[in-house]
Amino acid sequence: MTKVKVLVRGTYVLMKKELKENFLSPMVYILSALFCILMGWLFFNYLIASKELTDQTLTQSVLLPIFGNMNFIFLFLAPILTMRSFAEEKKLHTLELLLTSRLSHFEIIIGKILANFITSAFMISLTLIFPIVLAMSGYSHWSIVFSSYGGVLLSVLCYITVGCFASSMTENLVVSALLGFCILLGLMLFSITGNATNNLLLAQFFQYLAIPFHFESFVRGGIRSFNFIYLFSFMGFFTYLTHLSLESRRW
Amino acid sequence: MSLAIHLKDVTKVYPGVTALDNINLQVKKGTIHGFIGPNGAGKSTTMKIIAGLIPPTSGFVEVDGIEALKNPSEVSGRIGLLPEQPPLYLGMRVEDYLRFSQEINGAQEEGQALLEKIIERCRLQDVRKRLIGNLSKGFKQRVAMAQALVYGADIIILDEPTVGLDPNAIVDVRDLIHELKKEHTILLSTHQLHEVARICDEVTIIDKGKILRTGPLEVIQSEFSAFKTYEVLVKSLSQTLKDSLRAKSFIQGLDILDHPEGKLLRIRVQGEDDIRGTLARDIANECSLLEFRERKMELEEVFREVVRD
Repeated sequence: MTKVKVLVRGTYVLMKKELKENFLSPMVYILSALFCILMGWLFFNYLIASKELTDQTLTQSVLLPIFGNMNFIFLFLAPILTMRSFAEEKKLHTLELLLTSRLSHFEIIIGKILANFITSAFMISLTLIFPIVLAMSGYSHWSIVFSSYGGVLLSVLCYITVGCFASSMTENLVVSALLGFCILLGLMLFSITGNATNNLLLAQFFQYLAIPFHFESFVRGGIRSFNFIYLFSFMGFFTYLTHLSLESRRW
Repeated sequence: MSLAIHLKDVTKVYPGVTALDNINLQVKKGTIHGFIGPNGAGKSTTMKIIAGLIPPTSGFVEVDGIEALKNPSEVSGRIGLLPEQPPLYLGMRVEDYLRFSQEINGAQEEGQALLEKIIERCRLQDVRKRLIGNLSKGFKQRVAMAQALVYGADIIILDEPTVGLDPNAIVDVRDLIHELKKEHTILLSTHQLHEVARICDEVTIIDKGKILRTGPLEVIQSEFSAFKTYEVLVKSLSQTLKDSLRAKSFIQGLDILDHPEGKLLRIRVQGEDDIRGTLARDIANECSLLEFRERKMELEEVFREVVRD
């Protein structure tokens, strides 16, 4: 029990420091502003277009594409948010401070992932205005809204673990962001790789490996247990890779 | 006296390079141990191994009686490390940074009191609320040193703490190190040999991954006192005197240097016998002797001799 307490405490200390750094830098606010402009513009357009699409519900004509876009935009934003995580620590030689402390690799990694996740959640929370606007026009399908937000948050958490891994590989911020983006895009392309084969099992396997396939289950309101298994094992895999990357300094 | 740090047959091999070759090092508790060597000698690698940042390829490392390689978590809070590049978060305030350092190293109940003590000891009171990025290099170095002390580590490892500092800042850091001796064991790596000579109790000289000499400073210096150097100032120097000096068997080397008052002879003599009287008389017979003194071997010369060997 004490060990868990120490682990939580170490993670909390680092997360607090990271959050403070994130919210004291202009980066978060610039990204948030860009995100809001982009999402607001898209929401407005989908809302206008929904008047024409009379055979579709608001969920189909507005929410589905909005959450799909939100997920896609974070494919770019997450590597930018996480690029500093380890790359800057290496550049400023502060990683030595963390590695010689009592914090374990997992406390360091989880602390950083959580801080970036909370920062992303802050950005995503700015879009809560959309369901409020929809509620004013009588929309009441709240379970889909909840599961969609849940899907976006889990999906973004996956992106952040990839971003942190990319950041642990280099001390150059640009390389870190590009590497994170390339890995995420590569993983996303798994969903269309299935088209290259006539083997149904192989096609389904490739589709299963892509995050958007699982994200869709959340937005459509058809969440399956394997969605969670995939997303959590994805996070676990990249967290382990980040641990290996930090450990490689000792090789 | 018990040992704070004990390295036994430690080897570190990087692909294609042997950074440390079977080194043995003992640092006694409560001492300041100077660690000197040319660039690339293996000082930083040794310090990183002691601090647990990198493991050795082979060998045994003991810190404060604990086997460091088997119990890295137990060792981490006992060592305060100031690496060559100070690990500073430039966007943090001094006080927040030091508190963070305490927290990640397991803050104790008396943490706040210790923080105040270290801020005062490192003379950071005036800058405690300022951003680290806005401080001068001297202050940054003091903050980095405070970071190594603020969680109550017994052993402090300082890797070239005075590099790039102005003379006043160097004196400040030196005074601080001297003050720390009362409560800590310090392993200090530096290129400022006169500093080592001034503040260190023991010295280790390392080159090309091998420890060349280790022990109390006086013992190492006396090892080289088999050769004594005399400096003799004469008004003029005749060829006869030159020849007669060179003919003497106990004289190992003779350098003749220009001096505003005449010529300065630097005579290197081998042997235990005190030949000062004989030598001075012989010289005085041939020319007017203005000054005769024995030149103590400085650490810098010892260092050069050891590394040359």
